Amino acid sequence: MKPALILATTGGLLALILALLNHWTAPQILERQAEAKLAALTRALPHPDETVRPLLPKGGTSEIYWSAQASEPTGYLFGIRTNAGYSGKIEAWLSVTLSGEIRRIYTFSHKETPGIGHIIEPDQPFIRQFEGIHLLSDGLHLRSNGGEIDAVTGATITSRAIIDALTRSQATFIAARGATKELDG
Amino acid sequence: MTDHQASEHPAFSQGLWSNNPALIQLLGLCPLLAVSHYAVTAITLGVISLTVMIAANGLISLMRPLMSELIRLPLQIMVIASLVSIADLLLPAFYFELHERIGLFVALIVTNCAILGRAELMARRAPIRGALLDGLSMGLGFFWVMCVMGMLREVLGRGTLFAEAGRLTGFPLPDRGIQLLETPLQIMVFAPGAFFTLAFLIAGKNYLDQRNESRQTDRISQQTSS
Repeated sequence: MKPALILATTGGLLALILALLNHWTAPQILERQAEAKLAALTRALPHPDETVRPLLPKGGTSEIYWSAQASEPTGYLFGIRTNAGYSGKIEAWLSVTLSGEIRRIYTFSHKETPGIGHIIEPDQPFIRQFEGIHLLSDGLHLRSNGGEIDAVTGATITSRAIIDALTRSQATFIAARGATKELDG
Repeated sequence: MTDHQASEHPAFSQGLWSNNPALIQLLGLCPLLAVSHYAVTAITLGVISLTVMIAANGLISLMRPLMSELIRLPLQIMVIASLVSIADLLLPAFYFELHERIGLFVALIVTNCAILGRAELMARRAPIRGALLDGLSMGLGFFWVMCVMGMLREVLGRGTLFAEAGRLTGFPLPDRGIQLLETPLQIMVFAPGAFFTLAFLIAGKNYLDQRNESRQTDRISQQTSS
């Protein structure tokens, strides 16, 4: 047999095997990937035994999730972001109750100045001030602007950036609430 | 390339010790150094490399009639690359998070010279039984070095053993692993630690070999003098 023919046949056969295997594993891998993503998201929630499942994956630009504890819904979870940080983008997961009170802000990506910007990281006193404040209320401003939030001295821009991210996410919360009403009705 | 020559296949212990791919031939060091910072990742990659090595040797031995001088290298690489791709597809389908950790290095097994080396030196000349045994021997040789390095580095660098193994593989193991050291040496889990560990392993092997050799010569000289 000619060498070229041998190479081509072997290559074709092996490619066929791989294509079949890929056809079989691709959906499984996607499924595992989704599971892993949901498992990672539970870390953003206030309680470790809460679970997450998708609420609004289709259509919109942002992904919105349910959070639940023992199959009882505890609220919504969605991503918030802003470009108003001292050095650019800040991204976090926001967990709110069904009515819209902030439960936890879990910042996972920021480039704020080390030693100052850490105030927005999970479980820091500054970021915990937001807990219990309604996402759509006037409390969501710095005290100097008539709100309930104390800015951190030296990190005013970072403090404002978090408020900016939260304000931008109000529409997401309204969409989530709307979708829930649709499901109920 | 005569079958006759290769049919006297080398001893099984060659791959495990005297001609170990990692300690003597120094082949396949890229994955060996890169993923041996945790026992669980090291053992996983070791198992995959072992499997690929045996399967590649077997397949290439079966394809001996097709291996003309001109196309033997592309054929061998094609077989090895396909086997690695199969592993790379199967691993995430069952152990997704484990694959997230070592995924890049699974694909890199293709470039593990230890595998192509065995195909070229052994499998393309040997009948199937010898080729499979050779793959098993060399693969196990690589595997045990991988295991020892992974466990040593994790214990020295993190103080734990099999951390996260439970979550990643589904075995009933505590998530934090078994705590063995209170004050670990962090550098051991970083890149320099990989080189230190490998250096000590190689030195240790050479020391054992020399001691054995001098004992044997002692014995011989005693026998001749008495």
